[in-house]
Amino acid sequence: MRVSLRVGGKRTDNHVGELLGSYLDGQLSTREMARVEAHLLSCAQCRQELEQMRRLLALLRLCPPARPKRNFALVPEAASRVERRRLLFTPVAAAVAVLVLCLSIYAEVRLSRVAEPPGLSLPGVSLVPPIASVALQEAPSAAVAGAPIEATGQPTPAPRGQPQALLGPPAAPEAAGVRPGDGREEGGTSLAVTPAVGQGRPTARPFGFRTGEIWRPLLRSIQLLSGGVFVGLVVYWALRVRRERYSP
Amino acid sequence: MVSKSLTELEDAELVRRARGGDLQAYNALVLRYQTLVYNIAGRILIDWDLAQDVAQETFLRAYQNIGGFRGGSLRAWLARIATNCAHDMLRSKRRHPTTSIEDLGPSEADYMSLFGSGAQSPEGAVIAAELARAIDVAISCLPVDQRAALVLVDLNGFDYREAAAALGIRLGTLKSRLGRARARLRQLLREHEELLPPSLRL
Repeated sequence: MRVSLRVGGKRTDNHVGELLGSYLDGQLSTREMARVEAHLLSCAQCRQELEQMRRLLALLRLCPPARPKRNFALVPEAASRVERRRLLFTPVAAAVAVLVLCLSIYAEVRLSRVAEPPGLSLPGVSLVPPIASVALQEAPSAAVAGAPIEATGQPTPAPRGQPQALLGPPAAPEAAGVRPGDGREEGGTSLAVTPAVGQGRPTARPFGFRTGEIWRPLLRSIQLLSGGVFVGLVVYWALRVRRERYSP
Repeated sequence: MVSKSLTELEDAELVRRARGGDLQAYNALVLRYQTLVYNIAGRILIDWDLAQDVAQETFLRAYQNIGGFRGGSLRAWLARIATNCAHDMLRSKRRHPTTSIEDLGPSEADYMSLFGSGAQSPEGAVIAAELARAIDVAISCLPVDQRAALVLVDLNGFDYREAAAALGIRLGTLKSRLGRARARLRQLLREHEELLPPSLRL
């Protein structure tokens, strides 16, 4: 009675139907339990529902389990199929993606190192001295700058053979940065050098890359692709693990 | 000889052996838990034939992922995989609805053979089958997430914590789903009490 008075003052007529089961299981918090008990004292309908709930839970517990009609033990063939699935796919694919990514980054680093500083030992870079010497003789224009390129087997700015495309033209533009040093060593008018080669270099930039640097967009797309594959695999793996893993 | 000793081993030991590739040890676990897994699948799908496929798939997936089991309750882990498989099956069923004539659901005879075989008397078998069928009809009206909570706690004896872990939800969420499921079920079985055998009406 004490309780019902308190509840009556609050005017709670929201029933407690959804809490009755947990109440019977003893799984309510102290506050919820007080609320249910208070409500039950004042609500005949919920008292009746409580009784029905008690019967319902007993009934559900009474229901026997279904007997499976067959056995679900794994036969060895199924097990080994699963083992192969388990062992391999995701980790190996992810490792391959990482490997490709690393290789392409390494290749890019190597190739741009070749293109930038005076790596004189490399065949493509041996283009530099001829241009420089021609320029030093103050042969001023594109026509002359083009001649030594032809001499080394680069007839047109547009690359034809793959290895030449990789190494030939990139060396030429970068040579502009390199040459002042070379020029000074050889003595002579280094000032005339820069404009001459600036006009002479193959300038077409179809996709924002210099023509000769086809390897750049190529490597970039390989990097993006393998990076994307790797991220996708990791996400897939994480989702699957999360889904199957039970953490107590 | 070997299988006899396997059935006496604890779950943890069998899991350890199964991880090392011992299929016999794994199959001892399968035998131990197949009734549970089959019942969870059957009650969530309300289709006791499909439940066989789901149970088989559950044990395949569990074998595949047994490295991901980090101790704790094995049956809750299996229950989790089983409910996931059952959900996948429900989704694919919705995507490819079959309209064959066998789709009318299991008959009374099916329920008798599934649920009545353990009964002591023929009358007991009939009552068990009627009860099981009434429960199936009633819980088919529940949303799947509520149904899963009820199936684990009230029909398979999970405690709240285990069930929440198995469903990957928080305890509070489990309580409210279970509460709603039970309240709705009570209401349904009151309104359609003809579903239940007379001695068991609410």
